[in-house]
This record gives sequence, structure tokens and C-alpha cells, in this order.
Amino acid sequence: MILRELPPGELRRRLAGSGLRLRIGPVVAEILSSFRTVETAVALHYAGHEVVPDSDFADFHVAVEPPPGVRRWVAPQAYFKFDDRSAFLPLPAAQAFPLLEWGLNWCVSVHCHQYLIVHAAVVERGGRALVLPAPPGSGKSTLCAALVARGWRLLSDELALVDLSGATLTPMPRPISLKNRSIDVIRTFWPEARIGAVVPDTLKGSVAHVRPPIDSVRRAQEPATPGWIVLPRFEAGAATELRPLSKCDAFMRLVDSAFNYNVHGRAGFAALAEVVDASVCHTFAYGGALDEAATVFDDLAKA
Amino acid sequence: MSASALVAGVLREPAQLRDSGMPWEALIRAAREADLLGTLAARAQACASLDCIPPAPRAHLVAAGHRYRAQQAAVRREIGEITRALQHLDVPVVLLKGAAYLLAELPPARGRFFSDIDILVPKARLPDVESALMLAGFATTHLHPYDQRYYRRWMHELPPMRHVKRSSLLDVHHTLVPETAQVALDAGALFRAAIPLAGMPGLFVLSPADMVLHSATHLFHNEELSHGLRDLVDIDALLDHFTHGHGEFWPALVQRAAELDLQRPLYYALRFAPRLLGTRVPGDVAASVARHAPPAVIGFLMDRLLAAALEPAYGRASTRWARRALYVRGHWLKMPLPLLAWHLGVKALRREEPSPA
Amino acid sequence: MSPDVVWRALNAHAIESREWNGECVLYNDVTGSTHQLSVLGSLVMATLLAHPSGIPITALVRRIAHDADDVADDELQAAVEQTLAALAELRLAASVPI
Repeated sequence: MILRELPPGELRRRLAGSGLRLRIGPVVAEILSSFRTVETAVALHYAGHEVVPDSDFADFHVAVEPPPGVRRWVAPQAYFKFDDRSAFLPLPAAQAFPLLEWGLNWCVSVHCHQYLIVHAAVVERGGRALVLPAPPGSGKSTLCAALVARGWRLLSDELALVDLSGATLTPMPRPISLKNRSIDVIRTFWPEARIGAVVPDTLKGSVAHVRPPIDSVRRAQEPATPGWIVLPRFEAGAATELRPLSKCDAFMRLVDSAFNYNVHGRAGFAALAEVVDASVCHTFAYGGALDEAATVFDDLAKA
Repeated sequence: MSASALVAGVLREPAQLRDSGMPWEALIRAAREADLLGTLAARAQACASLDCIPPAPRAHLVAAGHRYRAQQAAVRREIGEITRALQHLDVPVVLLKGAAYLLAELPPARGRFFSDIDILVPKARLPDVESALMLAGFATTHLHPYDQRYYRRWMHELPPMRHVKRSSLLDVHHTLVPETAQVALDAGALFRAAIPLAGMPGLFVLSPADMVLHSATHLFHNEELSHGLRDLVDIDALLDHFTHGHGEFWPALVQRAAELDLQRPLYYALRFAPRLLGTRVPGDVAASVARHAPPAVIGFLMDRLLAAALEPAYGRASTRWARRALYVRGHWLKMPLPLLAWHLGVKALRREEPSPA
Repeated sequence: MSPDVVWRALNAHAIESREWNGECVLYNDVTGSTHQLSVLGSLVMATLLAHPSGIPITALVRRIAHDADDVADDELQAAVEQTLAALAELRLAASVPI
């Protein structure tokens, strides 16, 4: 059963009580939260995700909850908990849903060592993965959203899950997170996008999420093979330009962007080498002309 | 069945992993909470049961396997660096706990997760050791002056050191219990009995009896109890290994506990390990250490507190309370009461991270 | 640099490398570190790995000049010496007295 098929009131009941178990790509997360904003956002962004019975194995048990006592009402806060233990310092309660999303990223990047995990957006066309490794501020998420708007399948906007053979990337389709100006940019570029509430004043500025397309969610069990590695760099007003990138440089960027490279040592080196070997590598400078950007990648995919 | 009993049972008999009725979710959660996911993975692998486990829980064990292998390689490298940093000093360095089990190739090392490295050096050489480590890139942490004082004057170690480039954590001890504790331990005796590591000049591990006693002391004296079950698993594995075919180990252990004034921790170890892990302790040994049991009331409370504390923290308010009570006990064992009150007061004021009850 | 030494790759069994377009990336299992080597660095490393018992620097320079279709002059020698020093610091190579 997918989430939007739950009977009325059931979502709230599970989030507040026994836990909502969702299949998200290769993992099942049990989620608890008494925050209304979390319920609304989950109902929107995970509408197409599979709800899993309580008897099925859950990989993670997370909760976003207010603290007990007076801090529930006065300058209210939200905690992200993993197995009932608070994982980070609390955030203002208004940021409860972004906190859940960041928390889920943390869960995967800290625990899922069966993969080599690279901080990158991954989209797919024709079975081939376009990996966009990039530090914050590079415009990776905006570009990712723009490509998804133009029909690329979303595997992830943050976490590239590389199989240790280096031969495939595993999808984990989740809401795409956008910051500040890119929220409006994507609203304009992709009018059909379902964008959730804008949460202001986070550490990253204003944050909003875009619901993953139902097709991306439905095909979450379909891996992709490495196709392209592109390092995006956003600079307002810059010309759109795709340039070749040496494979050694691409490799080192993947190493620098990998969360758990150290865990895999020799095998990690080999896996990333396989990915780079199989990929066409570029840098991509752009100044916000998303139509142009999308065309560049369309052409790349046809080549 | 309690969660710790579930993990303990499966560790004792990993063949249970072939049982399709195993509560996988409870097992994985409890093992992770007790920091024993790697140990579980290693034992599953050793009895060829890993493939019998359904894919979803198995992925967690596979992931744990990658993690512990990486950490073990890192620990070996780190010990190499530490040795390099200290070799000109000609000072004996005794590896403690995980690092010792790893380099001495003892059973508790299998599947173990490592966080920091603990070493023991003679107290008189501490300044030299600290300087040499700093030259090699280890910087002291806990820079608040109060914490520095706490560690240097009252505890049995330098404030933890972290390497500036590698971020590895190193704890340098000069004895096994703080000097302010009610227990008087002769550190010199530890060094005299220490065993050199083959092929690694200057590096030692504690004698078998001292290793067991240190683990017992670590579990029952220490402020942090989140590794309670893991310490018991270590003790069980050590005892099983050292007593194998060596009938003399038990009397030697009992006698050494008397020499080092560590009979109370040994009593607790030999009381809880059999209960949780089925450790076989000969009747006469159990009787002998029972003479150092605490007065009945304290004993009863300790049993309840420790049993509760060994449960995973999630979903159980009583566990968190139990750990806090034992945290207080840990402190009490470490320093005189008036000092403790002041200490806790300051610590509470300085708590940077508010944690929900 | 002293002429009475040979240069060797350290821990050759622990090194994994991949080469693309003359440059290479390299993993050293002894240190756990990963490195990107320039074209010259890659040539030096490859030559050292091909001579497990060691190679004196003059022979190394001649070998590299040959492989790179270049001239074995003082400039190349200086560049090779610099590269060897860097590799030594990364614990990828070491000089051994003959």
C-alpha cells in the first residue's frame, strides 16, 4: 500500500503512536513525530512511497519530537532521535520537517556501509546515471531539480549509493531540498512541481522541498549504471559551459565527497575507479539559465 | 526476553542466527546500541551463518563488518605512528583494552569497533611522553581549564589527545584507577607483570590476569556504562581463552585481585558474566570472590541497577535513570564525596548539550 | 641527492593504482592514504614499481626520458629529485644505500 492510500487519520495515528514504516529505496525507516508540520510534509512528499507492515524489518527507528516540559511551549524545539537517543542539538520546532530530512541523510551516511556513499545528486536517463558531486553552494540541488523537471529520473539529491563492485548506483528517491533563491527559481521553471512549505531562518537560510516524481519513486528498485560525472559550479550571470574533466580529477573529487571512503580502503578505491572508468567526466559552469542547462544535459545524454 | 539477554544469547550461540524465527529487528537494534554489531557480524561469519540471515538484517551486519575492518586497520596504523613517536624515549608502553586485544590477537578483538586507543605509561615519564606525542601531532582536547585539572590531578590519565591531522583519539593512562579512589593500586606491579608483544619492541600488553581485572574494573568503576554489555562480552571471551587448558589461571586471577585490591570488581564480573553470557566459573572460585561481595542491601540495589543499565536505552526510561544512578556511582568510586558534589555541580553548569530526559 | 643509493617503491604489495591519460591515482594500504600523481609522478612511480630491487637516480632519469620521449637533462633530473623527495614524504618511496 502506498502512503496516500492510507485511510483518513491513519497517517497521524501511526506517526503519533506505533510508527510509520516507509520503504525508501533500499531501506525501511520507522518514523515517529507528533509535529503537525511533519505530518503534512510527509503526506505530501512521501505520498507515493510504500507503507510497510509493522511486522516487516525496519532498518532505522527515528523520531522528531518536542522536548518534555516547558520547552515544548516556550521557544519550542524539535529533536531528531535515532533509537530514542538524541543525535544532534535541537532545532526550532518550525524546522521539524527539514530536521527529519537531514536526520535521514545522517542515518544513511553513518550506517549504510554496505555502499560507498558519495555526497552527490544522482539522476538517470536511459539506464545511465549522471552523478553531480558538489559541495554546498555549487547549485547541485537546483540543477538536480531542473533535470528532474525535464524528465530525468531522480535517484537522490544528496546521497549517491555506489555498489562496492562499482558497477551500479542504487536509488533512494526522497524530496529534493532547495534553499533560498532556488526555491522561486524552480517554482518558475517547473510549475507542476509540488513544493512544500518554505521554512525560513534555518542554518542554511530558507529551505523548501520538492516532492519526488511518482515515476522516480515507483522505479526505486531499479539501479543505474555509471554514465557521467559532472561537477557543477553555479555563478550568477556566468555563461553555460560544459568542459572536459580529467578522470584523475574526477576521481579525487569523488574521494573528497565520499562519506565513508575510509571505511572501504582498497575496495573503495577500486569501486570509485570503476565508476570513473565507466563515466564521461565534465565540469559544468552555469549562471541560472536552466533551460540552457537542461539542453546541455539532453545533448550529453544523446551523445 | 530482555534485549541484552537476546544479544548475549546469540553471541554465545551464533548458530541461532539460522533460526528463521529470530526477532531480527530487536536483535540488530540491541546489538547496535551495545556497540556489538561488529562482534555479532564476526561471530556470524565464523560459524558460516551470515548467509542464512535474511537480506535486510544481513545488510547491517555486512556494513558493520566493513566498519570494524577499517577501524582495525586504522588502529594498527595508529599504533605504528605512536610507536614511532615514542621510540626514542625508551619508555615501556602497555596497550590497554581493544588495542591490546587486537595486537595480541585475542578473541575479544574479533569484530570489535574501536574509538580511541588507550595506553599505559609509567607516571614518572608522563611529561616526556606528552611532549613526544605533541611533537608528533597529538593535541590535547578538553581545553577548559577545569577539565584539564580534573584529568591531570584527579584522574588516572592525561586529558584525551587527538591527532591534529588524523583525528585519531588517544588516552594516555598512568594507572588503571584514579588516585583519589578508595582503591590503592600499585601501577608498578602492572608493568612488572606486563608481557612484551612479539616483534614490537617497547610495546607490551597486561598479563592475562591483569587484563581480566582491568576489564572488570573498567566496567564497574567507570562513569560510562553504555558499553556495559560489551565489557562483559570481553571478560567472558578473555576468561574462556585464558582458562582453556590452563587450570592455574583461576587461582592466579583470584590472588592477583587480592594483590591489586580489585576484589570487588572481580566479584561483580564473576557474578554477571555467568548470568548473562553463561561464563563457566568454578564453584570454589565463585565462593572465594563472594567473600568480597558488598553488604546485602547495596548488593541487591547494584544487581537491579546493573541489570537495568545493561538494557538498551531506547524506549526505557528506567534504563536512562539506571545509567545516571550508576554514573553517580562511577563518580563516587572515583573521588571523595565533597569533591564529587562540587564536580557534578560544575559539570552540570557547563553542560553544553541539553539532552532530553 | 647521494649517488650511492638506489630508489625503491615502498610497500609495493600495498599499493593500488589506476592510470588515465598519463596521470594516476594511487592508494597506499599501509598509510590508508589516497594520492593523485602528476604525469611525472606517475612515470617515476611506475618505473620504481617495475624495478623492485631498486634503481639509481641516473638510470631512473634516463628511463623516464626514454618513456616520455624526452631528453635526460639537468632540468629533468632536478624535477625527478623533487618528485622522489615528495614520494618519500608520502612513504611511497625510499632511498636505500647500495
